Amino acid sequence: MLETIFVRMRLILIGLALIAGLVVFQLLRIEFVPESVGYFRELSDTISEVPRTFAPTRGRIFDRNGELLAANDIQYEIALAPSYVLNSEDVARTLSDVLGKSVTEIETLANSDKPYVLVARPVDAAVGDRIKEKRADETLTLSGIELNPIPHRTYPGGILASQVLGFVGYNEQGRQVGYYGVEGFYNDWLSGKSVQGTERLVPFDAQPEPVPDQGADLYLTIDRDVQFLVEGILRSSVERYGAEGGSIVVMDPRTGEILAMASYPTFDPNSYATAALPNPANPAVSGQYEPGSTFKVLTMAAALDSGLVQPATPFLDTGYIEVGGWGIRNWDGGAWGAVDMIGCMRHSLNVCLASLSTQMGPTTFYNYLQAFGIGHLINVDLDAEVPGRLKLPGDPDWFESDLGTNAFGQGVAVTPMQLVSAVSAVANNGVIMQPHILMRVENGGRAHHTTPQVLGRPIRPETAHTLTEMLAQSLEGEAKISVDGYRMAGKTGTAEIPVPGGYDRSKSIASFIGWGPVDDPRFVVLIKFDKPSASRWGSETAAPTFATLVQRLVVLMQIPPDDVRRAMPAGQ
Amino acid sequence: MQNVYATPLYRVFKQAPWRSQTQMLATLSIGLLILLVVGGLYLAVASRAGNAGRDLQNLEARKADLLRENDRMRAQLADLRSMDRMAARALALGFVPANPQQLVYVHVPNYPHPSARADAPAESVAANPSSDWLTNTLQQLLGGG
Repeated sequence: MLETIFVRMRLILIGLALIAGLVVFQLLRIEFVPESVGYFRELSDTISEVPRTFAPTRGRIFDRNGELLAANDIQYEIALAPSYVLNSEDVARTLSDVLGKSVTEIETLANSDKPYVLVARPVDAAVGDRIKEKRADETLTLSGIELNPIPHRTYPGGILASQVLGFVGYNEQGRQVGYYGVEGFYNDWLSGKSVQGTERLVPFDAQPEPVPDQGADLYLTIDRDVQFLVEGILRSSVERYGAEGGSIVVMDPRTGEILAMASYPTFDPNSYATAALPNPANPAVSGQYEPGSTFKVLTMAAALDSGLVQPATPFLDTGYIEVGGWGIRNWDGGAWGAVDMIGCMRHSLNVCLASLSTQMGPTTFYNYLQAFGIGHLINVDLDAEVPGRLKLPGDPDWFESDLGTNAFGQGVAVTPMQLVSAVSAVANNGVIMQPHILMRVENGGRAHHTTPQVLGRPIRPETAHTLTEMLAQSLEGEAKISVDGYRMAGKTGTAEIPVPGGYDRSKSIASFIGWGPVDDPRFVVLIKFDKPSASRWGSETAAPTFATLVQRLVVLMQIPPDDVRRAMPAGQ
Repeated sequence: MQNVYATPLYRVFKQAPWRSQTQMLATLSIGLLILLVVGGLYLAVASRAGNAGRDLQNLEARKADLLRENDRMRAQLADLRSMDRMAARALALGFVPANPQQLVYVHVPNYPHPSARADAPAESVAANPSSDWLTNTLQQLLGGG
């Protein structure tokens, strides 16, 4: 009997040893035979590792004082994993309560045979928070609800600087992409660089996640306070003058820093998809127009700089001049008789300026205009900039008459930013500084500062001073434009709007470009209204708006009145 | 002296079949025990590694959550500090925009004027040449920053 038991035990032991041997053999085969190693490693990886793109956080955008203009937020994608749903009634009631969907609809989704069912995307962070709260409630069984965060761009200022900032949408891969403005122009820097890696699902194999190159934070030259002021004044002025729209640009001529840039109507980048505005491009850099008399600043600058005239050079205005067979008259159709160059600018005489351009000749005149940056991109760091249009001798559509009409801003197209850049030469000793919107970039603890760059020197410093003085004198006595305590220089403009076959004389683009204080210009301001109905004249719409704006601008920019400033020691 | 190994009782005892069985069982038991100890140690180490891995995963998830929450709170703060809100609050408190005539400028020797600060580009803190993509791009575009 005992023998039989021992025999059986031996057999069992032998059997167990064989099985153990097989297991050991298999383990050794898996571990050491090259083909097996590869196969089982691959099999293991497909189960325990998931390829994943580790996306960086998009960089934020600040104003020059560190106020946040574009930030990151989260939204959620709410989905169900039906195989993990233990109590479909709890799940359906909870999601119905939070999302406002029907219980039946969600129950149907919860009982689906698919592994993953989308319920809602995107939903606000507050909705996600409510679901998290419900999950914490132990009386509810909410397994199977997937709450996946989605990166979301938010603009705390709403419409503030929206056309400067642009907006962020999603591409086909679900990644954020910037469009228009700073978001579009600096998309690569803001986006950072994602990293391809693997997400290890088995804790035993867990490793720190790869860190992508985070998006850079951008600090703009925009001053949020000035931008807010500009937008408020633009909106109220457009309404007051019954204009279809308008733009205002404020730039520091000494550095080319854009302090504010606004156009109206505008849009809220937080809801760009539902914005009524069909084109979110920034009209200050993307919208070209015929500048009209504001362009005379450049013509007079060319005439002075080329030595053709001096401020006191007399001109006999007969009220008519013919250039290239095209008759040119003054804005009022009248003849102003004997005037000097200051009078030509003060009364904005088309005949006088056309006479100057013809005396300069096309080569000199157009060389100056090109040196001012007219007709080509100024490469401001904003998306969708257009070059305007300057017809040149030799172009198929250039006629000799253009030499006369271009002198007073007709037959030539510029963008508001382009005109500000050109005129800034007069305000800044004859030097155009590269207009720019980016002041500083910060990334990974490093900061990079933009350095003001010279874009061109179209005129001599003496010419700039002379013309500034002429334009300051031409504004004196104009109550609508004066700013108590500050001497300003500037020029009004009233441009007819080109239509096929001629000009629409019933509508105009009313504008004013000015700078100040005259002895130490700190800003150049362009104000432009499209088709104002209250008055077609720039002197009655844009010029008073300039005065209103500058009254507040000097406070925000802490520019003391002229007499106070002159009493201060140099450099203070 | 009598040799105990030569006694019949000893021979019987040594040659007993159960004795060799016991020896084999004891050997097997010791082997099993060693295996159990080694297995136990392996399990303990694996368990600790697994726990550490799980902790790492949880910390990564927590870090991501905190970063998102941080961003969200920044956005909320910026929203609370938005110009519309600030302006409305200032008006509600009775403030009005100042005009230049209401300001009194006082000359303070050596006081750094805001414009002077804004005009002077601060020196880049990027002291060392870096290989990261942004630095390289910026150095090309901004002329060395």
